[in-house]
Amino acid sequence: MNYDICIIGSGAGAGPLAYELSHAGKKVVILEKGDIYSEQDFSKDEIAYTKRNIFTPQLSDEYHTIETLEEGKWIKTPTYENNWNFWNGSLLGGSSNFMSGFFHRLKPNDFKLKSIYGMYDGANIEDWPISYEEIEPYYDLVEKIVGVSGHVTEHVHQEPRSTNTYPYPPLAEHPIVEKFDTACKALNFTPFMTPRAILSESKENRNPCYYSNYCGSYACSSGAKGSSRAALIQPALATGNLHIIANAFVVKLETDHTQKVKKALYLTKEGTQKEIKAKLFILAAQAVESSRLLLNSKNAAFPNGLANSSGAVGKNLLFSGGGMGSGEFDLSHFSQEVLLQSGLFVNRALKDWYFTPKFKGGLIDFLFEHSNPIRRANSLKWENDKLIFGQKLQDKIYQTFTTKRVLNFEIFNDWMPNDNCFVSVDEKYKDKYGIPVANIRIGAHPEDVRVGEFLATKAVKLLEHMGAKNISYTISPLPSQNLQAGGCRFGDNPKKHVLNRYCQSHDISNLFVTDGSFMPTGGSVPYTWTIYANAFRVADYIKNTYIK
Amino acid sequence: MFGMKRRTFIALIATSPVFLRINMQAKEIPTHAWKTIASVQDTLLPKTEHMPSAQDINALFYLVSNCSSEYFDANDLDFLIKGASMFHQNFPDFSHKDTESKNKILEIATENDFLEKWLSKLIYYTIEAMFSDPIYGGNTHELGWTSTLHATGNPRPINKYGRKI
Repeated sequence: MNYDICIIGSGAGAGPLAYELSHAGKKVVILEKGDIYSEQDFSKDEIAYTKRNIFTPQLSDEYHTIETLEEGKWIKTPTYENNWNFWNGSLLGGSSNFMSGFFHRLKPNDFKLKSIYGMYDGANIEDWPISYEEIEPYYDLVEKIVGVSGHVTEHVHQEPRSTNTYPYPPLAEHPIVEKFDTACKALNFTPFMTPRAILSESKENRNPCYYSNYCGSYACSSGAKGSSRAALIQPALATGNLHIIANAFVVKLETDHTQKVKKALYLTKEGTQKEIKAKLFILAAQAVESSRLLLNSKNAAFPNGLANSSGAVGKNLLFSGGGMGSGEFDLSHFSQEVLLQSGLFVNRALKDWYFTPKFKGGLIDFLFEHSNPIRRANSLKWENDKLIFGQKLQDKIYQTFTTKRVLNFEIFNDWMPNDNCFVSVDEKYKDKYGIPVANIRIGAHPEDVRVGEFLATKAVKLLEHMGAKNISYTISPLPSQNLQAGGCRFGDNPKKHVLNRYCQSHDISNLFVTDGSFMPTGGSVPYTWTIYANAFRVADYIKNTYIK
Repeated sequence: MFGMKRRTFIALIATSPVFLRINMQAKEIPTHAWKTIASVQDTLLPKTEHMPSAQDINALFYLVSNCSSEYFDANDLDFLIKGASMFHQNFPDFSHKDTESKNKILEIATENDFLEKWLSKLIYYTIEAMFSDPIYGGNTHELGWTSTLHATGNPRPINKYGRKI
């Protein structure tokens, strides 16, 4: 069968296209590398969701190579050796199934970082080709279609909104937020109520949050979490215009004599090669894998890879700068019943330093430590670099679990794009199918750590004022692997940019890339909401202009 | 040494096809390795006023019955067995000692980098047995969760390793 549109991937960059184009009557096929799951398949199983590679490939079969700078040399290590897993969810809906759903919009000045702050030495920052005003209606659309709960907090860096409320009321909160808000007032900080892509009320076939106590890293059993699968692909399937081929690993895009993509070649789970033809191809396999596929699709007409006449595919890869910290609360702060009350959210953040007069700051999100008891208990076995065991370890586990609760903070600041953060492929390292794997060089700009440290001092100050104990934090130049963007920058110059302002390849007119790859800079927030919003924007362009 | 739990374990191995498969893998592993692991596990995480012991939560059974899974880290299994052999060679009478002596032996063992890493790994898998869903064979009667007032999430798994329903 010939499809109108073939979408590669099914996560946040894919769902809006599938939703909009199938509703527009187009015949759409999704090629998803992983399997199809539904709500009833999901559970709160710490082993399956956090301790084994169930929803990602086995690293011995499919891996990445990671280049890190060690004593002045870039050292390449396959991830089957260091267990650093850069797969984030090979299943229908991709990694959006496992997100925490902290939904912060970018702000107008995020779109013109270079104009506002000028150049940072060694960083390749540049302004976006579009403005906040162009994407704002789509942020609003995501709030309504995907579903965002919360309460709009007025603050100094508040972005313009077309509505002054979220469509769903805030989720229930733990009493610790009273301490948070009081401390903020005393310190003259603004307690920001974090919007969440988690339904507080039912929406069509999706049930509201039931406060399972196991949220981040877990797929949602009620459909409350706004994953691409629950919020967009399931309604798209209901149109009858969407077909999903699961366990389909796309290994190459083939072009024809008109220099358009004519088919996607994919491997089944068993390694059998198949193909899909379509008029239009949309690539949304997450930033690293999207660049890998374009580079691996090189042919005589495109010897450097598809969409790569600029040589920019894979370049200026983005993660998120920052780190995380924590403080402990115990029975001196709350009764045991209140302290251990499970499932309730914290949903607080600090944005007072999102921009500073002299440099780009960032965001601090606060959340309770995830419930995962295996991880928590195992983390208690070391004291002063010495292994503890026996009665001492058992007492520590008991005391910690029954009398303490850890409030974490996560810092998000801009990952400065630079020449030493990119995706490439080489012929030496291949997966079990014989396909060259993605090599990821991870070079961080010093500004990432400096800003992270700056923000951490603010978070520590707040925790101290709340009376937290054992406060600590870590800011690292090493990235979190689940926050990926960049690699196929959009912009108006075909010699510099992979994609135009509609995320369409400058070289190949029937090829769009709609995951986070398009971003020239990532802002200081988790990327999912912006990826969703941009994908809706691209869908509008395709509907109204490209295939009109 | 194992009491009721060991008898139950052996009976299961002898009768269940699932455990026959486990036994096929386990047969390549010297018996003394499992005995050593069981004995050390119960010293690493002993019964206390508030907490169940490794034996109470079927830690050895958990390890044996899950180590043949395709999702179990093969390097970890190899390391656990090699470590058990080395520990047994260095401390052959460990299982016959009293609690105080066992603790002293483990203190001595932690001074060796390899054995310290082995003990750390063994603690990890014993903690997995204590706090994972009982569907995996540990956390008997949810003792790990109830002892620590841990509210687990729902729904609980019906199948192991995220297998679809």
